[in-house]
Amino acid sequence: MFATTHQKIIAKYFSNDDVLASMAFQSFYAGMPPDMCAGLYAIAGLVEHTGIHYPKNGGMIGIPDGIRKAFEELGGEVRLGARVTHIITESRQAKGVLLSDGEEIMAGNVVGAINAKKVYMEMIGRGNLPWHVWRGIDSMELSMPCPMIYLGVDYEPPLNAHHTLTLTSPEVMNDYWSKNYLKGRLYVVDGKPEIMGLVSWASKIDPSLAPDGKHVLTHMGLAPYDLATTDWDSYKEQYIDEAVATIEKYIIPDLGKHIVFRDMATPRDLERMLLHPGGAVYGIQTDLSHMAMFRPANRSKSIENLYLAGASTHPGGGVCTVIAGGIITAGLLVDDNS
Amino acid sequence: MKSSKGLLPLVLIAMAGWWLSTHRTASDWRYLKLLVTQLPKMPFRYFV
Repeated sequence: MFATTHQKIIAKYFSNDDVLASMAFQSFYAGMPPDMCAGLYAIAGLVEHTGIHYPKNGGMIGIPDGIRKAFEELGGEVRLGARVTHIITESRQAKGVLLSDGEEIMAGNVVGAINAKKVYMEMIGRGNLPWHVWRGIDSMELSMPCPMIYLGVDYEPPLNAHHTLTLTSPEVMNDYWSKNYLKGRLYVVDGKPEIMGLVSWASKIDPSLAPDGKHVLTHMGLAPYDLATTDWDSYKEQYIDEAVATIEKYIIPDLGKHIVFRDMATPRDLERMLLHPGGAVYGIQTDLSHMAMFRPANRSKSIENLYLAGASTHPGGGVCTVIAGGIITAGLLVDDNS
Repeated sequence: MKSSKGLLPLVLIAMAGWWLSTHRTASDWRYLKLLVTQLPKMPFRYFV
């Protein structure tokens, strides 16, 4: 599972191209194509097919909302719009956080739930870390960004599942990575860009997410952060057009005629809004060299009283994996403070 | 003891030969290249 790849693991059990594509796509959650992702991550395909990726009510935002409610019921206070700029340290001990408005909040423990590179390299800083720790965090590779398109449509889309792919096979995914993605380009078929990705039909599971008779779709694409010929702010609207054309070609003919709302979060937007370096929503990539003890630890090894959670820590990126990591970090906090 | 030490490189070479002979696709080489290029960085990542 560790020494082989995601693609090899799934090829042991499946041969149909559509099934292989649906099981291989999850490697991109780890930030890599199926032939470069660690075999252990093949479990994500199984998790996806069991359906536990989808909250039954309230869409994905229902997950952080639920965590917030639970935290408040336990007496916690949640402050939104309060951006942390620095983690205050003293003799390699976390003492609190500094907010962008200059307020300092002192605390016995600090938990960083954003990308670990951002936590260590910007919020703590090189001068507060041992040189070998700095070198380690600096060497870590980011996962690929996932531009998100949000669509409102005026009808029930002709889909038969919550998730539908516009990809055809693991080979296409691997080919895209080496020949296009790494060169800052999107996939091109017959001279036209095709936006690979996953269409999620959230209002199929929870109709309350859209007005009566209408539905919401999201498209999670696979695209580089640094584009070879343009930048994301300029390319945004064209990208949506190209993604809709790709969806029309493969899974929903005439989708464009039914769109009543469209918006997207580019990798640059994800970086600005969520502080993901490189727009990497799945944190640090999950190949063998970035897993387990080689991934940022949930309890910092270099800064006392500092804990980390989220996609860039152990065990990795993706909703279920991040929740598992949060449980590990919470357990460590409880153990260390009891 | 001395002879078993001398055998170790041979065993490692034989294992590497076996691995290379059974992993010959472009994907395999790409995965190997990834691991080889990342290997020197891994000791530092352990401390993060």
